[in-house]
Amino acid sequence: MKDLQDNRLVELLADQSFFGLSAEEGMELGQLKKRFPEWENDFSLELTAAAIGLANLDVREDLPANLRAQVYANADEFFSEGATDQEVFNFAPSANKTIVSPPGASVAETTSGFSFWQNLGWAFAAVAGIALAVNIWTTRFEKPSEVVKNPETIQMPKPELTTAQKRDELLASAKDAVQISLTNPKNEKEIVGDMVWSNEKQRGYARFRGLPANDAAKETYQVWIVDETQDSKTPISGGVFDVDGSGEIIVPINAQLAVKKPKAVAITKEKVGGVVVSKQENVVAIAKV
Amino acid sequence: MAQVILKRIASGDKSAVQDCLKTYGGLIWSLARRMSPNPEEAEDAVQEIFIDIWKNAARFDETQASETTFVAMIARRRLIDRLRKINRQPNVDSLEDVLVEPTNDREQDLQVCVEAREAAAAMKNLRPEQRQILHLSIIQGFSHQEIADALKMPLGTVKTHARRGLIQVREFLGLGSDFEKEATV
Repeated sequence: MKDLQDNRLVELLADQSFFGLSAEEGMELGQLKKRFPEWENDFSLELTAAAIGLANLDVREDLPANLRAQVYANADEFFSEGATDQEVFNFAPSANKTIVSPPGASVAETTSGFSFWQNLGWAFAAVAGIALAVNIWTTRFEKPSEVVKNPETIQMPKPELTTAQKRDELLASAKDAVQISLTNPKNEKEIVGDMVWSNEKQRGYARFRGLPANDAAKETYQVWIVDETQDSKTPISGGVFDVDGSGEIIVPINAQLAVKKPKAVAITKEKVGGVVVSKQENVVAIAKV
Repeated sequence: MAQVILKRIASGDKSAVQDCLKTYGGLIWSLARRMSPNPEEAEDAVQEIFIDIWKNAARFDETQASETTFVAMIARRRLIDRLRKINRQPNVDSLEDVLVEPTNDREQDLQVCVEAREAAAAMKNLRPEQRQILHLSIIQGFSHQEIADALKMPLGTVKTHARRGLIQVREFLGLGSDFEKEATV
């Protein structure tokens, strides 16, 4: 009996390492751990999965500046919780997060409920501006002497850019950025948009004009990057997007794997959520790099 | 310095936050982009991951694994949790379509820590089906059911290959205690 339970426990720990557990499985694992407390703090399978996940991980790209600023702001809030003598400084980073985070952002779910004073702080800080906020925050994290010696730690925060501005910035800053036309596969003379991609930064944007709106409840558009290092039947997914109007739309490309030698791009219509491997039955745009 | 960041965070040293971002920012961003459906989701995930790191810093045990692997484990937990909420259902055509071995032409340059390099080496010693399933599951983020559908393989078989492969890699890395290794799955 003990062996059976032991095996079941290892089974659940392994499953957890791969793709998490359902609520029921999580409860079962909790109960088994109570029965076998020697497993309580055993993370070896999760650590193994993490090590495998790190194998061949391309970490050349650093955090975007705006995201870095948000993480700093979250850290300040996290470390300052309950510290009444530091509340005045909390206004700034909290406001920064409020401004740049989308409504209902999941970070808010991970923190405890916000007080009236914190909300008031956000309001003050919104007026004060993002630049001042992050500057105040940054200097709090540095000893005064270090601030002078290491000016890069008091960078002025970059304002949140629109997707169009991010695209322009990539085009201007990435030396290897390429811009190619996306065309109708049935009529290659008909240009439906363009795509900007930087291999070095592993970032890119697709821009469309007049792409038909899709029914987001039934289907989605999906970007594919055909890479010379990948099997041609399994191009790299660049993410999914929906179109709700007839105007211009710019979509950030989120390649699921490192793109090494891109040779073509395709946009397909797929079922909701996208697919792992496309049948390429409904290709709406293509481009050759 | 990298090995003491989490201890400093656990002790409330705020200056460690900068070192943490500098050391692990790129790693977490890469993991988040790989396991998120779009950049916006990845950005939200990164914020949650760092908060998880602050909360769990005290649980880091340097005798169990490197700090890098521990941080990656925290990141994977959050990313998996978010993926489960999305409940993605891929459309896989055939076994042939997913029989793609990863290309490792820059393998040695890309490993971010010793355990990652050893894990990559251990993967090469696995049976092909184990290696493929671990790759699809851990690196590409597919669920066991999705892999079973893709490979037209019984779910139980997929799970068995995955567990045995994972345990084999764990033993190669020297993680886990003896009583665990004796357990059969």
